[in-house]
Order: sequence, then structure tokens, then C-alpha cells
Amino acid sequence: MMLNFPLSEVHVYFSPEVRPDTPLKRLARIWSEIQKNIHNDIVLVLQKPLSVRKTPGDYIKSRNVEIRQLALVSGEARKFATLIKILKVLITNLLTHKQTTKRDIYYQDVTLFQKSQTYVNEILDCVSYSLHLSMEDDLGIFASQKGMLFSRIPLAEGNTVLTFDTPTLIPRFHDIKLLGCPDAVIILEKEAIFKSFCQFVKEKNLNLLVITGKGFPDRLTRNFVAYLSKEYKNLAFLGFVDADVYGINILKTYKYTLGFSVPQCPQLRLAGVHLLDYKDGWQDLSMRDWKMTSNFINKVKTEWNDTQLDKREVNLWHRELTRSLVLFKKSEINVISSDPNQYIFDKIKCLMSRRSVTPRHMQA
Amino acid sequence: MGKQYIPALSVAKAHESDILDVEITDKFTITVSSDGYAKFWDNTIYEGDDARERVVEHFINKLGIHHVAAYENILPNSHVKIVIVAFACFDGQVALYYYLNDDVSTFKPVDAPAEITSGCWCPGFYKDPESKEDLLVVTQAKGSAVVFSMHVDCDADGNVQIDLQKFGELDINKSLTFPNSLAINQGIDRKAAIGFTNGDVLLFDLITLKLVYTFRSTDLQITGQKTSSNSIPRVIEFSPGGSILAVARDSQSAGSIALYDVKYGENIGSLTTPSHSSKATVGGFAHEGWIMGLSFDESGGFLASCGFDNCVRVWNMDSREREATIKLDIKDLEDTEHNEEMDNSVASGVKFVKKGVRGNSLGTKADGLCVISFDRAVRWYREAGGL
Repeated sequence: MMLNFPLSEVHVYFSPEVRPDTPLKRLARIWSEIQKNIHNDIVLVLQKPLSVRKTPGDYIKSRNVEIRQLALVSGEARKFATLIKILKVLITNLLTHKQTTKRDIYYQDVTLFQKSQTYVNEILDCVSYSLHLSMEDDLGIFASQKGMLFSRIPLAEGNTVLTFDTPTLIPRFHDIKLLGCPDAVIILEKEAIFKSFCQFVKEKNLNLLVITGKGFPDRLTRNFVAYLSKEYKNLAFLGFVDADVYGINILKTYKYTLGFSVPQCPQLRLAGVHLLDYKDGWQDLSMRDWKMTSNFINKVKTEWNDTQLDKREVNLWHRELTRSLVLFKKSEINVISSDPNQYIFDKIKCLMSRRSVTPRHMQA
Repeated sequence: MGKQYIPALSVAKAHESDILDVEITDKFTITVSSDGYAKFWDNTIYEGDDARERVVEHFINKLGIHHVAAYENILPNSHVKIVIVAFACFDGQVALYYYLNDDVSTFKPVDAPAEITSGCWCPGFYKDPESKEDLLVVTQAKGSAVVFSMHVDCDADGNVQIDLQKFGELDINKSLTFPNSLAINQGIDRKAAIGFTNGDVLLFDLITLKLVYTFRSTDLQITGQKTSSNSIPRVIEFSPGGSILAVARDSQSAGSIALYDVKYGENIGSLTTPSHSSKATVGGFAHEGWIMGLSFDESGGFLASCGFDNCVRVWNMDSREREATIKLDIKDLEDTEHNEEMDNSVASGVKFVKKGVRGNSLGTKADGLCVISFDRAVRWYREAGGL
């Protein structure tokens, strides 16, 4: 026999409004609907994105997800509670104009979110997708900043002046301007090297702008480098990465987006480390490294379009990686010499001198 | 130090990128590079000739070529000479080509079996001295090696048929690591040796396809990883009679050459230079850097080696001592403009050139050497005297 609930079912749809509105209004509309019907059996209806392909313009499939207030299983009840919590956090953030990160939202109620960041991410994705809201622009949720910047030249963001004379996270920017011109932009793969090199630059009082993405750079770091590249077309951009497939791939990520189709920082060059720079610190490739390397050189040679100007640079990468395959070795920047800072500095001097103009204070 | 070698010819910027292997045939010296080209240098080019004008080049693979092996034979019942060249490319393909009567304009691809279109590393030919069955051996990145029996025929109209039938796979324990190097014994007892990156060199019988001996590295430094070692056997080479196998292994940052008796499977010594290097931990070294090339002369009395110390040594196999040392320098080259970051005179390969091959009034009676390098140059030397 079917039980007859005294409560009636009310569907609350997470859908974008037809008329123009603000993100806050969309969320508030759902919030008030929930509030109004809290004494009924609310069914929240969301769209769950199924596959997110990295190529732009790809159609994203989705399916309907229904979450009941009076759930039959505990997982669903938890999801309902999670959604309410997330709605509340999102609305509060929008009201206070606070920018936040997914990680930050997760810390709002770790127990409810089952100590799982992916659980939160999944629901956040559902909400933003269903309401057609962009995570960054509409909801103010950004990935945590990862990239670091060091420069004795300050930056202006709107009307505020930001200084970077100690290593600082690259700020989220809209309208940024560098108040001066550095002698070169140095991009380092590793944070450890970055920190010690910044100290070195400070002591020697060099006018270098130093950036690290701590491994693979996030979008903010890449955008920042792209901005610098666009703004300072004649500036040297020198990258120092490990002499292995991961290092070169990181360099590639700064230089091009979407495979090799869009150059982001055409000036960027591989300055070090080269496999043959230091023979005592070599490490064997693992079979995984070996496969990655052969796949990457395949990608370099098939995707990269030969008519582009960077032929010399890309051939250099290819030469470096094929060497690594033949020798079955790779080399890390950390062990390059007892004094990596001096090594990097010497390389910079050498490369800058070949650009014919050596900045005054680098001649020492 | 009995022998003297004199530079006979050097070609700077022979390739766009690193030159990774060299093979000498009767008519041509074939070099391959990671720029994807194979170049055929006429052996009669000498000082004074513009080598770059007389070279024949063929584009093989856009990812680059890292090994080359050549097979030369006169076809049965005819006077047609065929040269089959195997190019190992960085996409894992072994590309086979042939040309007839030493005329590279007849250069044509051979239909390759599916097994060698991907996942391969190093090819080697076995030319049966009794002309019964020739073989092609190809090592594979996953650790095994495939053996093909090769039949070459020519009909009355001069159409060549090259038939490769899979003969079998070498019985290799798959847990072994990457097969870095390959050598084929060209003598009557068919043998192949494969060097693995964990330091082992495995000797196989090419009739039974079974393992005969394992020559382990004597490196005392254990890295803790089974898959790698500090003693990669970078190059291995059989002596012409097939009685000795020379193995060049890394030894820290230096290079050692160990000699093995193929019949009894014993280590019969090593080639060393007197050294006071602080890098030396155990034993002596042949080079102050990794060894990239080994080559026996025609008689088996001399072995040439070369490597990361930018030098070539010629060893007397009877006395086990050095007969000659040639130092490479980028300044040797007439064209000294180079890429400072990448061009380094690491000697990436060496081959003895038989007496009479470099067919010129100067070179006929003396043997010689051909050396390739990461400075993108090819250098030929000839032995002094004996003109």
C-alpha cells in the first residue's frame, strides 16, 4: 500500500531566467522559492554537465539531477543540505563582494562536505552550469593563485600600486600596468629555485622580473606572462626548466595555448638547463618518462606548424628531447651546479649579450 | 701509441641537428640525424672536394632518426648489388629502404612488416657468410626483440623482391628494462647481443632464439631501482670473427669497456687508460665520459671507441693498450659558426673505414676512421703512412 504524504511535491528549477538579471537575483530567486516551500517536499532540479572537453566550442552534454528534501537515502539528504549550504555561501559572497576559492568554500563546512573537495566541486559545477553563471566572473570563485612574481618595478592595478620586492602571489588583474621596464623576464619552473634566485637578484640589485608557476602554470600566471609579452614586444623572456619532457612541456604551456595553435608568449626561449650543461647530475629516464618524451616530440613535430617563426626554438626543444631519449637520461635544474643562481645569471648574461645590448648593471 | 691518424676531410654542419649514427658501405658513408635526414656521403670525396655538394640526402622521418644499419649483398644469380638500409626513427618505426648497384637515385622504400612500424628501437642485419639465410633483428621498446628472415630476389627485368618473414621473438624476460643497444655477430655462429639499461647484456643464439649468456655489470653502485643503473651498456660490438664482445658501459660519469669471450661467456678483461681521476671509484676507465661508439677494424686487431670526453681512442686488442687518441674540437672545422647552447663536440659515433674503401690514390692502402659528433660535423681520418 502506498503511503500518502501530507506534503505536496514542489519542484524548484535551477535554470537561467529569460530576462536579463544579475547572478545574485538568480540565486535569490531560488533561495526564496526554497524558503517559501520549506514545509512541502522540495525537489531541486539541476543540470549536471557530463563531459567537459577542453577544445572550445565542443558541445557539453548534461543530464537532469533531482535532489529531494525528504530523501530516501542518506547521500541524497546530504546533497540537499550541501546545496543549501553552498547557495547560502554563494549569496553571502555576492552580497559582500567577496572573492573566494573552491577550497575556501570547502572549508566552510568540512564535515558536511564529507571531507571531499571533489564533492564540493561537483555541486558547484552543477549550480554554475544550471544557472549559466561563470565561476569567475559571476560567482567570484577563482582557482587559488599559484604563480609568484618578484620585481623591483611596481605594478599598477587600476588606481592601486602593488609592489613585488618580495616574492608575492601574482594578483588577479583586470587593468594592470607595469610602472617601468625590466631588462628581462625570467620564468622559472621551480619554487625553490625561484626563492633563492629572487634573493640573488635582490642582493645584486638586478632589474629582472622573475616569475614561477610552481610547475605547470595556472591560467592566471599564463595570462600574466601573455600580458607582459604583448606589452613588451622586444623584451627577452628566458625560461629555466628541467631538461626533461615535463620541463619543456611547462615552457610550451607558457609559449602556446591550445596545443601549438595560439602563441601566447612568442619571445619566450629555453635558456636552461640543457642536458649537456652538467653531466654528473643526470638521472635515468623511467619507462614513463620515455613514453612521455616520445609522445611529446611526436606532438611537437605533428601539431606545430612549420611556417611559424619559432622554428629555431622548437627544433631546439626537439633536439634536447631526442638527446634525452638516446642517452636515456634527464637532468634537473636543482642539481645543475653547486650554485644554480650563478648558473642562471651566467646564462642570462650570455643570452642577453647575444641580443647585442647588455643592460648596464649586468655587465659586472 | 703506435698509430697516427690524420684528418682527411671534415664537413661542418653536415646535419641540422645531432648526428646520431653512422654506417659505412662500400660506396657511401651514411649518417643519420634527429633532423630526420639520412645523408649519403660518397666515399671518394676527399680534401679539396666540396663534400656538401656531392652528398645525396633523403628525408626519412620528421621526428628524426637515431640508428641506422645497412646490408650489402650481390643478389644470387645476377650481378645486381643491393644495399638495404634500416632507419630507426623516434616515432618507433624502423623504415627500410634499398638501392641498387650503389646508385642512390634508385632509393626506394621496402614494404615493412607490421611489427616494425611502431614501438621499435634498434635494427641490425645478419648477413649469413654461407648465404643460406639472412636475418633482420629489431629490438623493441617494451623489452623484446623480433627476428625476421630476409630473402632478396631479383627477376630477369631487374625487379627486386624483398621478403621479410617473422622468424620469431627472442626469449627475453619482460621484466628487464629498456633495450638500449644491439650488436649482431656476423660470423658463422649466429649470435646477437642486446644491452639493457639495467646494465645487463644478454647474448642470444639466433637459431634457437634462446638466451646463451648474461653479462652482468660489475658496477658496485646500486641505485636501489631495479629498472636502472649507472652502468647503461651504451654500445656493444662483436669482433669480426665473433669471438669477442666489447661492451661499453657508463661508469658514473666515465666510460668503461669490458671484453667478453662469446664462446665461454667469460669476462676476459677491460680496456683502460692510466687514470688518477677523482671520479674513479672502482676499476679503470677507457674514457673520461660515456662511450657512444665502438668499432672493430677489419682484422679485429684494433678497436675504436669514442664518447662524451670529445675524443676517439684506438685500442690494440693484443696489448690492450691505446694506439692512438684523437681529440675533437669544434675549432677543427673550417666553418666555426655554431649554436653555442647545443653544439658540443661529443663524439656520438665512430666507424672504421676499411682499407680501399675511400677509393682515392691517397687512401687506398691505409685504413681510416669516420667520426660523427653532436657539433653536427662528420670527420674522416686516415692512418698515417702506408701511402
